[in-house]
Formats: sequence, structure tokens, C-alpha cells
Amino acid sequence: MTERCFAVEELAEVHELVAGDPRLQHLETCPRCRARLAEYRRFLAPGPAPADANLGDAERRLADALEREAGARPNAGATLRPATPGGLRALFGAPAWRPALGVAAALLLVSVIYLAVERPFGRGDRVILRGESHPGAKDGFELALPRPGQAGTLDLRWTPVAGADAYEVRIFDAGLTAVARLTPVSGTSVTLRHADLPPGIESHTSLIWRVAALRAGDEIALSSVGTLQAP
Amino acid sequence: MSPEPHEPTDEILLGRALKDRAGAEGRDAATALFARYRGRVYLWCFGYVRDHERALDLAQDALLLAWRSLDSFAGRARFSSWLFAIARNRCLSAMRPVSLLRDASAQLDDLIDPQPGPEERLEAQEDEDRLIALFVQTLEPQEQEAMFLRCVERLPVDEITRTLGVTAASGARGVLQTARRKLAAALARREDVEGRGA
Repeated sequence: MTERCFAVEELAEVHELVAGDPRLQHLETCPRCRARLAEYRRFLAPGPAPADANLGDAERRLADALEREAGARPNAGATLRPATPGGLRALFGAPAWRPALGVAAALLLVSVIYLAVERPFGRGDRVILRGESHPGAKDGFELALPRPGQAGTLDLRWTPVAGADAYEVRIFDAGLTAVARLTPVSGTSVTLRHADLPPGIESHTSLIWRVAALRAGDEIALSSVGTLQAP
Repeated sequence: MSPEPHEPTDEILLGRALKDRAGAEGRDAATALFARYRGRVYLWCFGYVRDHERALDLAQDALLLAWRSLDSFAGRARFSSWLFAIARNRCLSAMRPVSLLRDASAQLDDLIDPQPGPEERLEAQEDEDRLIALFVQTLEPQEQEAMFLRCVERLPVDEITRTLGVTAASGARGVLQTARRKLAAALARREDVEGRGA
């Protein structure tokens, strides 16, 4: 593997490369990229729906959810779950905000939205994804601001969670693709080194991070979302 | 599901959506764009969880996140792979950590066998890059991809069969079993060498 792996977001371009393109050479030696490209192709052309799926119902209900999100039909019929309060969309969708949003602000926006989606939909209430939460889980523990460590590293810290026996630090790029996981971490801090990140992520790249508290390997709580600059 | 020649491309629809984000034209363009992919996102999520309602939950999460993040997307990638990245990430987040009792593809003997298999041992011992390096050294290309999809991407076995187009009667299960045997042997050799070197 002499070249960097393709980001998931690059797969559309990779999918369209013609034979002989030098970038295809990487695929020959990298099962990760070949597998991900196969996944992307399956996403594009899924084939017939499995017998136990209900594509028609899914199309209808997802269309309802999106239409309600768009505000086209604010009182549309039942969808999967209540949408996030419209204030969030109104706030971040306001045209006056857009010119001021730089890369950092955009990242923060994405992370806030990510958190907003995760919390009301995923964990904050009891309408949760089945099998995903732990009874008695307490979410929303806090992250400290990352601080520069020794030799260009970054010190990450967070508040302890009662009952946790380990933590997992998850790092995402701006597209919310997971780029690194540090696990298991026994305490409430960890030093992030450049080597912990995959090739292709340069120093000072803005990234998103959050921490999962674990007990016996099961996730029992998720932290808030923070941003950091790659060491 | 590519657009017909007379239909606007994803990028054209995206441009219209971003140009008039708060207006009716932009909303219609975004709706048309997402309509192209909502079924794909659902089927992708279904492949992971094999449950209609849960797949809908995941698909809605992914689609609404993408809808709300359109402004920050700003054409950094193709829309299709950007949305795929979001859906994939949502599924992976939902699948991790996976316990056997939540794993739809887990077999009964997995549940009662306390011994970790080669996958678990590898995951505990190797980070992803070392894992892949071992795959490359030990396995045939299709076995490498199948093991990556199973160990790292947490894809169910029948979904791996479809994703890789495995035509053998046993599907990806046979590929994975062969790969596991090879990896177990490679690990045993490695432990033997390290044991002698210690």
C-alpha cells in the first residue's frame, strides 16, 4: 500500500476512473479500498430489495420525514419519530449566517447538528434505536478543550462517568466519517498523536471528536461533541 | 438509478438547492435530489440491521443529517458518496459496539462458545492497519475484502455475499471460514515465532 487510502467521500470519483488511471493501482494492493468501493457500488445499485424489507413503506415514510423537515408540509402525517425542533434548522439555515461560516464554523455546525440528531433521536429520550442503549445510561458527559501536549501531540480530557471501566475516543472528519478510534482508554484522558490518525490527514486539519464510556465493552454513555485540530 | 439523460444531474439539483436554500425552488430541488437516494439509503441500512423499523430509523437519521448539513457540504465531494459516507457512518455507529446477542448474523454456536475466534483475537491484538497488512500477507483478494467487511465494517455475512457478488453456494460464509482458518494458522505461526524469540 504505497499510496494513501481513498476517503469514503472520494469513492464516487474512484468508481468512475477509467482503466489505466494510476490511482487504480492502489486498489490492487488495498483490501480496505476495494471493499469500500464494493460497498459504494452496492449502495448505488442495491438490486432487488430483500424479501423482508419494505421499500415502498420506507420510501413513503422517508419522503414524509423529509417533506416535514423541508417545511413543505408542517402537519404531515405520522413519520418515524418527531423531527428535531425547527428552531435549529431555522437558526442554522438562516441566510445571514452563511457568509460568516468559515471552515471551523462549518465544522462546529456539523458537530452541533450531529449532536442534535444523536440526542433527541438517538439517546436523549427513550425512543431509541433498538439494542443501542444501555439501561440506565447517562449521556452528555463533558469534554475539556484539547490542549497541546509534548512533541506536537494533543491532550484530550473529559469528565468521568460513573460505572465506566474504559472509554473509547472517536474522531471524525468534516464529513462525519470516522477516521480514528482510540480504545480502550482506561482513564479520562489520552494523548492524541499524529500517528494515531490515518494517512492523508494533515496537521491542523479540523476534526470532530466524542468519547464513549464503556462498561464490559458495552457503550453506556456518549459525551458531547467537540472539535480539535489534528496534531 | 442514474438520472435519465433529460433529468438534471445530482450536481445540478444540488446547485439549485444551495442557491435557493430557503425558497421553494431550492426546496424542490433538494427534495428531488433526496428522492433519488432515500430508497438506497434505506436498503443500505437494512443490509446492516435486517429489520425494517430499525433500518428506517437509521435511514431517517442519515437523510435528515444530510439535509441539514447541505450548506456545509458545498460540493466537497460528489453528493452520492457524501451521502453514502453519512449513511455508512450512521450504520457503523449503530453497530459498535456489537455484542453477539445484538448481531443478527450471529450463530447459536457463537453465543455459547466462550472462546474468542480469530476475528476477536485479531481485533484485540492488531490495529486496523496491521490487521489489513496481515490480510494481504495471508489471504486471497476476495478473502481479504470479506474479512475487512466483516471485522472492520461489521457487515452481516449475507450482505457481504451480495456486496462482493460471491456466487458459491455457501456464499461469503464459506469465504470467511476459509479466511479464518488461514488467519488462525498465521497467528499461531506468529505466536510461535514470537514465543521462541522471547
